[in-house]
Amino acid sequence: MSKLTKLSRRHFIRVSVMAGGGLLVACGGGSSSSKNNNTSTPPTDNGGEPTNPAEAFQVGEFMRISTDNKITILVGAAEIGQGALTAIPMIVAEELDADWSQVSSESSPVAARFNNPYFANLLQFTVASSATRGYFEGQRSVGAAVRQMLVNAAAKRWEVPASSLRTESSYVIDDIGGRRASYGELSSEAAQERVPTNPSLKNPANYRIIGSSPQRLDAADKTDGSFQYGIDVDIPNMLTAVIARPPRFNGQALNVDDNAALAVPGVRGVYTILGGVAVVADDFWAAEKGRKALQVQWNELLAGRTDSDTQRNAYNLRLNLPGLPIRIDGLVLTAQLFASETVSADYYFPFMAHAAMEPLNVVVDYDGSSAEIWTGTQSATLDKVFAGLVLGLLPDQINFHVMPSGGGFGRRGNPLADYVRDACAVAKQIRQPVKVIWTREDDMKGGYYRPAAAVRVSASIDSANNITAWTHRSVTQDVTALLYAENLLDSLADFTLPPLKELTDFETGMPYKIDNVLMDAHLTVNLNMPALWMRSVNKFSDVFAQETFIDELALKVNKNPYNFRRDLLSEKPRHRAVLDAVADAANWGFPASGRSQGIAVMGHWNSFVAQVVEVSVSANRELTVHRVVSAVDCGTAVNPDLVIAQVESAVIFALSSILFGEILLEDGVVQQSNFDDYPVLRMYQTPAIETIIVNSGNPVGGVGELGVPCVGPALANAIFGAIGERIRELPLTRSNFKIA
Amino acid sequence: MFTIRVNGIAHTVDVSEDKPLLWVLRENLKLTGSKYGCGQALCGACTVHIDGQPTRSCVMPISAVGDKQVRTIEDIGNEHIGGLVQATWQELNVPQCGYCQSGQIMAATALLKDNSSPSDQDIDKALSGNICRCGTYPRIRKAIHKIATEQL
Amino acid sequence: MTTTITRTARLMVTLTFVGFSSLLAHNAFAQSPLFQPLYEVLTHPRCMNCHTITDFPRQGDERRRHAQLVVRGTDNHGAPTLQCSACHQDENVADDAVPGAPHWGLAPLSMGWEGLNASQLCQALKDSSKNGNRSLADLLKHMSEDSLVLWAWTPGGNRSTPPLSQPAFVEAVQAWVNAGGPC
Repeated sequence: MSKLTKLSRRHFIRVSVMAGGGLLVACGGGSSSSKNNNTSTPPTDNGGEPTNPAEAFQVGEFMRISTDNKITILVGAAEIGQGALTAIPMIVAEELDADWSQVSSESSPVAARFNNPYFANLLQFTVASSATRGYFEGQRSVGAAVRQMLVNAAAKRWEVPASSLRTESSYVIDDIGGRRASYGELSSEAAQERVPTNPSLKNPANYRIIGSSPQRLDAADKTDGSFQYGIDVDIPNMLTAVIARPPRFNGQALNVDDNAALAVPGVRGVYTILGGVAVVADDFWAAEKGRKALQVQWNELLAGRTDSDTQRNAYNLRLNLPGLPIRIDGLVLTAQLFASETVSADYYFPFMAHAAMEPLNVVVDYDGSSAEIWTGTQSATLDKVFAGLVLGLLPDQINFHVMPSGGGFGRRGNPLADYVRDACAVAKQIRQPVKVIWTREDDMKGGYYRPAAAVRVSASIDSANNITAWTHRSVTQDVTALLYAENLLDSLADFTLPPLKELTDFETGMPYKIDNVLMDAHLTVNLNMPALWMRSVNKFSDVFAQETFIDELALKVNKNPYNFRRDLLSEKPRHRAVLDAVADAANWGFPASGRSQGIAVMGHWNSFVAQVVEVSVSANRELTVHRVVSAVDCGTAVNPDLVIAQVESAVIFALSSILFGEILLEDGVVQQSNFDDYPVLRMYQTPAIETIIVNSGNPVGGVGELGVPCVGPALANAIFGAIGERIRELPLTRSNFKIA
Repeated sequence: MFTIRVNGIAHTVDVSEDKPLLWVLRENLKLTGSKYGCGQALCGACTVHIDGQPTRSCVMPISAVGDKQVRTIEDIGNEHIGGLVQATWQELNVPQCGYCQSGQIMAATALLKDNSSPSDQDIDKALSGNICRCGTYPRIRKAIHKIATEQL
Repeated sequence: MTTTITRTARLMVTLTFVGFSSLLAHNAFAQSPLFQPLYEVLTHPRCMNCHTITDFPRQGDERRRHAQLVVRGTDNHGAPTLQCSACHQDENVADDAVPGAPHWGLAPLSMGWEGLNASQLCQALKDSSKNGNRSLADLLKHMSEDSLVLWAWTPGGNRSTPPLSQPAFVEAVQAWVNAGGPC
């Protein structure tokens, strides 16, 4: 939170008059170094209707108000399915007092003024459940400021005090004079007004839009096939490329025999780039056939040789060694010494693939002196930086279009911009518009997985059955650590990263009242085994270990797992509130006949969640997940239905990982390739999902990842209840469960 | 050269005989509503109707289409039930990223045309070929029931 | 009365026969050496995966349940709106990842062979009430010419093929038919 508060103060609003009249507003705290100076030609990317400037008053690149009073809000966060294109405009519209039915939204250009305040206004970066909570305060201020300027303009026009006017649904209303003017009518005059430095914000009790659940603004286009994703971008003279990549990460093409590939009708060329060998063709099918005909001999001397089994053994050994401390409370060693018993358990989690429905793809139009790029990404700022490096262009020579993504889950938030760099490398050689498409197999085998992790937890218990000490050790590749090791961000983006432990996603929030706590981690860096954050990051493994182990302790001291947690959360009211709420909603303690329940709780992203999973296990180990009940406190829900949708989504995403998710490597080669050998949850395997919001009125918390981490431990605890077996590794198919 | 009938219109395309229908729709006919997700009939994102039956266009060679009627997401709203499915999808905020929804809608429309009051099991059997990574299954199920209960 | 006796006798004979042949089947030998090669082919996963006695087909040499909740359906061609032909073309496609042949589908339940020993399978195969009213000659034609049967020898990818080559299988069926279809 401290970060957020500090940043919101840095917000400011720049206003200028546009050619042809209108109001130009930009918000954000970034430098004004961006030369993305297309204020007179509104962005027409992302399938948005081109707006004729003659007919529309522009409220900058941030917002447009057209003469018919329609408002278009540009959104700096990436739309990856979470509803950024709906929730963020709702925040602006609230303070603007806009008529929501006349509001639409588009993805913004990549420019500093659209950077996410959560990341110190330095990046457009849609990760860490940060979109809504990151942009929240800034968007409110802008909405409020523009509203005040519209009111001031009306006051001048009617020669009445501004204080006698009110606003409602995109109109300024003079009750005394019995007149009204639409925002559209007033926008030109409003542009002449001084920007209020401290516009007054609404009392949350008066919210009309925030807290309501209007339909998603992209719902219609997402049901008739008209919504444009990156893979749908089509520009004149565009070629299509696929890239043959080495079987082992970081292998290099040594000899390329492209005769057969070039003989495939439609294949235009074969180009070796750093990441592999690109086959460029008139269409996808020709490119694919060309790639199949390609003969490449790879130099794998320096390539990755990660082997899942070997790595697991190595991680388990490292669990015996102290790591980098990330939380130290009290004196663990002393507490252990005086304990009557110290128990521990080891856990293991494999690599997992994000497997978003839209495989990665990038369109690049590079002509030697400038470039235009279209791609679905969560990391537009850094993508643009890397594109500039590869193409030898300055940022203002690149027009970067952030396309909505067919899923992200972290894969499109790669700070190393892998797929954008590859595509730019191809474009640089051919100097013709090109769409680089990853097939599903490319996507599945292409690395940047949720890293494998080993976790050890221990607890010490005194003679009165109190937990006196808790330790938690993780061994995993940490993505953030990689950035430090490479000093990449420092050198590229000209800023210094905060201390490492503040940026890692390791679990340090263990909420239970235990006096002596030691949490440490081994931050493994392996450049030949590309790992990345995946929805809920380390919380997935850390909370699994924590919340299954706390269940074991409860049963060890003969307590009900719910009551045991509750007692230990006496100083954590928000944890307790969601725990109580879920126990109530799920009828804790009274599962349906033949079923067993498990429970788990956590807080992170300024939000809190507790979940109950109900399962049954047949004699032949057929596992059925019947029901998942979640209670969430995300402080303030901007759009409660979107919050519920995110939790439903997270539960299903988590179940895919828990039940089946496993990328295996043998001597550096990924063994999975498509949805047949990397199954994900399907309709018939989906349990009943119920979600309740128990908001606390606190500041907006993140919800995109919130529903993921507790599903695994709650499910594992339910399995223990059913068959008395503890789950120490994932996925469950490893423990020979058959998934019904 | 192949002539195929898509959404009631005949199109002649000059493509290799093994080019999948999906890529002909997307690249040659610029009908990009049908999506590429797996290329192996594993995910259902490319689902179109061939003579009314949901079919994975990513594995159907153009040469296999013949004179069968192809219908895509771009046209399904012109069918009564297709329109109901789209409207209910919007009303219940079914789509998240939306990428799989063309396929889901084509599958759901075919189901409801065949069965005006599908059970949960009927829905499972008709829709389990369509993967959604955002996890919109509960809302898809709810939407199908809602249409069946209220409008069919 | 006579009928009852005949029936009882027949049943006893059958039971003895079944008992004996399951013993043989256990040792992987059919009673008739002429049927044995057919048995080995017909019980190969390429055939058995769609000659199931379940309401779903199977996949792979390990004969796992077909993914995607694929079901038999009333016409043996899948659920009403998730037909086999939603994915399976008239030929193997997607680099053989998706197998295909004309009229891809399950054999009717009456031709479900799972759990049958050689003798039972042989009887079932010849039983015109179960085999689609086929004579021995019809069976020969079906097993040597039907495109879906032939697919078993060109399944594509890494799929295993039956233990006999296709011509050897046809020869074996011919020999069995010529001998009157001994079980």
